[in-house]
This record gives sequence, C-alpha cells and structure tokens, in this order.
Amino acid sequence: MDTESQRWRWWALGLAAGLLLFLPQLYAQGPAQNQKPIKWGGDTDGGFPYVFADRIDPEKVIGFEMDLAQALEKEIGRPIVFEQRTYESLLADLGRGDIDVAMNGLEIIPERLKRVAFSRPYYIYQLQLVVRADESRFKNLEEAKAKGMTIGTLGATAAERLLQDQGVSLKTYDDQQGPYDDLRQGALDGVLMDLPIAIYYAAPDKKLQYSQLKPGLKFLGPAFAEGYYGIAVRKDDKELLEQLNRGIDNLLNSGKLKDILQKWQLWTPDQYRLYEPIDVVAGGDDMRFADYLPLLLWGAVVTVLITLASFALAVAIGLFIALLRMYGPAPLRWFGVGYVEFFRGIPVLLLLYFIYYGLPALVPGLKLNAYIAAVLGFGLNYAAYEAEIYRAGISSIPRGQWEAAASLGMSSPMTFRRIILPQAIRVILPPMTSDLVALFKDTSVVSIIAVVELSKQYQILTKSGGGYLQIGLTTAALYLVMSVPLGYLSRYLEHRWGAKH
Amino acid sequence: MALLGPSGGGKSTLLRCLNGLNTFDTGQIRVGEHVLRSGPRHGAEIHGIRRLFGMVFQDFQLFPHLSVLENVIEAPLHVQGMTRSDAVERAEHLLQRVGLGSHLHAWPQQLSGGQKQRVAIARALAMQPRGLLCDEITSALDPEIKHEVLRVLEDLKRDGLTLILVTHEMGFARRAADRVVVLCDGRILEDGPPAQVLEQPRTERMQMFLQRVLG
Ligand SMILES: Nc1ncnc2c1ncn2[C@@H]1O[C@H](COP(=O)(O)OP(=O)(O)OP(=O)(O)O)[C@@H](O)[C@H]1O
Ligand SMILES: [Mg+2]
Repeated sequence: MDTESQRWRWWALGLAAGLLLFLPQLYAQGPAQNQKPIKWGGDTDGGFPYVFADRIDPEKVIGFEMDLAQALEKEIGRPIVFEQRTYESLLADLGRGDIDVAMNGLEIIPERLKRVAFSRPYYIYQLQLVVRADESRFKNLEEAKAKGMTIGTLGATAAERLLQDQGVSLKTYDDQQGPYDDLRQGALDGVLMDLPIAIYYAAPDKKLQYSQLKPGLKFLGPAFAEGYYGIAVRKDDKELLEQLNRGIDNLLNSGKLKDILQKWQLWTPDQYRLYEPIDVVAGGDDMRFADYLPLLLWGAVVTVLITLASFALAVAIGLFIALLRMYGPAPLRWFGVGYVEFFRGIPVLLLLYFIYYGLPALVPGLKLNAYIAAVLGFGLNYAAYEAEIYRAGISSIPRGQWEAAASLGMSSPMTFRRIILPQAIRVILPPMTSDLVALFKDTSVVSIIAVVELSKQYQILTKSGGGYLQIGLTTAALYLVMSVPLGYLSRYLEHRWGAKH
Repeated sequence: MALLGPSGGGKSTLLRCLNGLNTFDTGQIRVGEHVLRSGPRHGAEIHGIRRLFGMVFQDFQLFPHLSVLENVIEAPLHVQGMTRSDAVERAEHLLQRVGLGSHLHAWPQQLSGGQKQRVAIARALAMQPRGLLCDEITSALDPEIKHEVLRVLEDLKRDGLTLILVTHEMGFARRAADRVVVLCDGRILEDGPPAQVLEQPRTERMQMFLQRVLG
C-alpha cells in the first residue's frame, strides 16, 4: 500500500512538472496555432552549401538552409521537415501539394512569380564566372561570347537565363558538380553559377569545413548580376507566406540570419540590403508555339541521331559478340557470354554515368563528349540484346545449309557471309526493328549526362515557364510521329518474314 | 557405284566422310592424289577432295534466298572466281541439261521436289567435279517424280561421271550400277558387280537383307 501511494505521488509530480514546462510554450504559440509540420522540399544532390548530406553521417542533412529552417521553426512555432526532391521538380511538387514550401537557392525571378509566391529574400546572391587556372583567352563574359566559348550552368536558374539573354553558347546541367568537372576536363570553357556554389567548389583561399574544392580552377572577375533567394509557397497559402515573412523578419532583426550566413562564410556587405524591400514582380511572356517548336524539333533531331548512331554501333558490336559466342575458341566464347550477361544485367543509367563521369576519372586526359558517351553507352548496352537476336537468327538456319555450301568448296567465313547471314536476316530483322523502337524511347535517359534531346528539351522548357500541357502535347506528338511508323514497319516485317519460320 | 545396306549401316556416314563433312577415328580416305587422315581436319586436302566430288543431299539444301540460276553460279563465281558471264553460260547449259532451262529465275520454294533435286545436281556439277556423292536423293520424292531425277543420273553416268549413290532403289542399282557395295554395321558386307551381289550373295546376312527389301 505504501509503495502504491508513493508511485502515484511521483506520477502526479511528473505530470505537474511537464505541464509547467510546456504550458508557457503552448501559451506563447496561442491555442489556435496549427502544429501541423511544414513540408519543405529541397535537393541534397550535390547541393553545397544549401542543403546536402553530411559526409560523416550521410543520414543527416545539413547546410545553411537547414540552419535557416531550424531557426524559422522556432520563430513560427511549427516543425519544418525536410523532404528530398529533385531540384527541377520543386515548383511542380509545390503546385501539386506534395510539399508546402520549396527552399533550395531558388531565385526570385519574374517567371516563377507567375506560378508561386515567394517569401521575402533570405539571401542576396551574385553570379560568379569560374574558369581553368591557366585560362587566358577571355577576361569576362562578353569576350567569352565573342570567342564562341561554351559556358556551363545549372538548368532553370537565373544564371541560365542570363546566358540565354546574352546569347552566350551554354550547356545546362542538373547538378552542381558536373559543370566544374567538365570545366576541368576541358569540355567547357567556363562555369557561371551562383556565388555560394562557386565559393564551395572553386575558391581555394576560403577555409571551409565542407568545401568541395576542385583544384585547377579560378574565379574570373568579380561576382555580378545579383538577385534574391526566397522561399517559394503556393499562391493561395497566404497564411504560411505571412508566417514565413514574419519569421525571416525576426531572424534579420535579431541578427540570427547574419550569424547563420557568417557561419557558412556566405555573409557579404551586400546582405545588408536584405533589410530593404525588393522590387521583383511577376512577368515574362508565356512560351509561344513558334518559340518552343524549333527547340523541340532540334531535340527530336538529336534524339534521332543518338538513336541511329547507338543502334548502328549496337548492331555491329552485337554481330561480333554473337560470332565470338557461337564460333570463338573457349576463352572468347566465355567473353561473349559474359558480355551479354553483364550488359543485360546492369541498368543503362548506371552505364551512362560510368562512361561519362567515371571513365575520364580513370583514364587521365580522356575527354568524352556527352553525345559520344551517350552513343557509346546505348551502343554497348543494346549490343548485348542484338547479339542474342543474331544468335537466335543464325542458329535457326539448318546445318544442312552449311554442309551444302561446304561441299561446294565454300569456306566457313564465305558461307556465313553469303549463305547463312542473308537468310538469318529475315529472322533477325523483325525483333531488331522493335528493339530500335525501344531504343528510340530509351534515349530519353541520356538527359542525365547533359545531352539535350527531345525529353530533356521538354523538361527545360517547362521548368522555368510552365506550359506543361501544350509543350507536353507537342513533344508527345513529335515522339509519335517518329515511333508509330517504326512500329508499323516492325510489325510488317514480323508478319512478312517472322511467320514463315 | 551403288551403296546399299540396312538402316544404320553407315552409308550416310561413309559418304559424309568422303566429302570431309565427318571426321573419323581410324583409317584413311584416298581420292585421287588427296588423302584424308583421321584426327583433326586438314583444310587443303578436304578442299581438294571436294573439288573432285560434288555432293547432293536427300533434302536438297538449295539456298532459299537465291534464285535457281544464282544457286548454280554461286560457287563458280565466289570459289572458282569465274566471270559472271562465263558462270551464267555454264549454269544455263547445266540447267538445260537437267531439264530446267525455263526455270532460271524461279525461286527454290516455287519448284517441285524433283525440280529442286535437279537444281541441286546442276549446282554440284557447276563446280565441274569428276563425280557426285548422292545420299538417298530420291527418297523424299513421289514415285512418279523419282524417275526424272534417276534419268538425269543415268545420263550423267553415260557421260563418264563417277557416281557414288546411296539408294534403296534396287531396280535402279541393278540396272545402272557397275559396282554394288553393301554396308552393314559399319562394315562392308558385299562388294562386287550387281549381278553377283544382288543375285548370288555370298553371305547369309545379305540374303536376309535382300529378302526383306524385295519382299
Ligand atoms: N564405320 C563406322 N564406324 C563407327 N560408327 C559408324 C560407322 N558407320 C556408321 N556408324 C554409325 O552408325 C550410325 C548410323 O549410320 P548412318 O546414318 O550412316 O546409317 P545409314 O546407313 O545412312 O542409315 P539410313 O539408311 O537410315 O540412312 C551413325 O551414328 C554412325 O556414327
Ligand atoms: Mg542415311
């Protein structure tokens, strides 16, 4: 009995203490406060110094925006939870309601203001041109343009827009690392990105904890073309916008935002202007059909060229592998079997990554153009499938044909070339044509290595301006115009020749 | 020369060895000055033997992607390196001889079995061999059609061509062959002129074989 009452007393005490601790907070936030967490979308993929996975504990997401989010959490009184999203889809995800806010170095630009609302800015960025340390051909963007230099940048950013507006030849990337890697390997002449990124990848004099320094690069000239980073919210989410603005306001006035930026070495005197009102308004024209059609058509041409070149390579290598596998001596035969199993077993995406990013790292001095890497990747991958088609076709020709040719004095290579292959083609052609159709559609994957073909062009066009439906329908129409006749050809060949065997 | 014998006796095997299509474990094969030995193939010797003897198969094995004429000129053009006009001239002559002068541009699929087999004979002859090896070349044909092929063979023999044929046509063997060899279990059971082998067989097994075949 004694212990029972004691336990009860402890319990009551604990409850009271808990209430005492939490009550002030509950009161401060007001009883009407919504405790629903705010879903914050960002991309940790190569996202220094915004949000990225901690190298020591990859489960942990850190970065100056993470610090900002945690500070805002306290100001607003609602938990902010991070959700991993791809950078390109942030605004689309926001519109769909998958996330409540998007914060990932998103510049406040007129086109975006048409689709979403932005909080007051939390950072004033500038653009920084980075070149190889030994660069002497140009000293600024104008000279780079005049000399026909190619500048790399992130897709759907203010930097991309600036390069486009100035007519500089440019190449867009999905990640921050790619452009700097390509610059070092000579595939690019310069990289124009936001200063925070440039600092973390190419400023050797800064002592940064999380620096991703790529040696052999330098800043070219001072940073320029400033703009604002803001937090994007849905336009109808007025309450949240209000909360965010008040939160950033408080962080500015208490000096906490400055502390965070200083911690990440991002503070510059320019940031004092964060205290002033900003004047970016929604604007920019909707893309018109006549504007985007040429871009999509060019994308279609690239798609067709990559498809044809890859397939030609696949058909050639495939025949070679099939011959090794069927007629080669034992070690070569095993190689043929290994080749087929290997390339059928790994995703083509991985292969493309490896060829484009991995090979140049392994082989010093190797400069792989993204288009060549794409053709190589798909050529090697599809060769495995074509080899099996060849093998099936060639084995379907009866042995008697070999013997009849041999008895006429024909050598094996001659028999293969003049008697077996021409007959096997009839068995081979229908499945090969349907592979061609498949490859045609598969090529959309190459966008991951900075090749701008039809699908990628669609992505680029819709990223900044929206217009998913019209541009999407045009893109689909272009694909269909090309793939439907191919499909018919495949079925025709199947019907014509496939049935006889 | 006619090769006779029960099924599984080794007739096809012998013929294929003679043309270098099969290897063998013991013994040797001599054709003219060419010698095939057991063990790994010897390309040059096989090639020499194939120049001396053409081969005709039971299931024709015409090249289906080539027309009748192209079937016949294929080897002269690409193995012997003849000019096209010479090869065509020879092929037309040969096809006329086997009675297919009007089917030069037909496709193999369009021909009857007997016609196919005669194209196959013309194709083998186009390499100007000294003889032909024929393995049951009439077995897949209807009885009425067999004769057109057999007639061609008799005609060729009259012209001095050496024919080694595996056949189940006893009547034809007796009528046309100079020599009959009977194979049984991979060994020669009888060997001699048809009158002797078919009419007065020396071995008991041969008598049983004849009884079974002739009924
Ligand atoms: N001399 C031999 N030594 C070893 N094996 C032999 C010999 N002759 C024949 N054989 C074997 O006997 C089997 C049947 O031979 P083959 O097909 O030549 O018979 P065939 O006389 O053509 O019969 P069919 O009349 O049915 O066509 C084959 O597997 C072959 O390897
Ligand atoms: Mg046989």
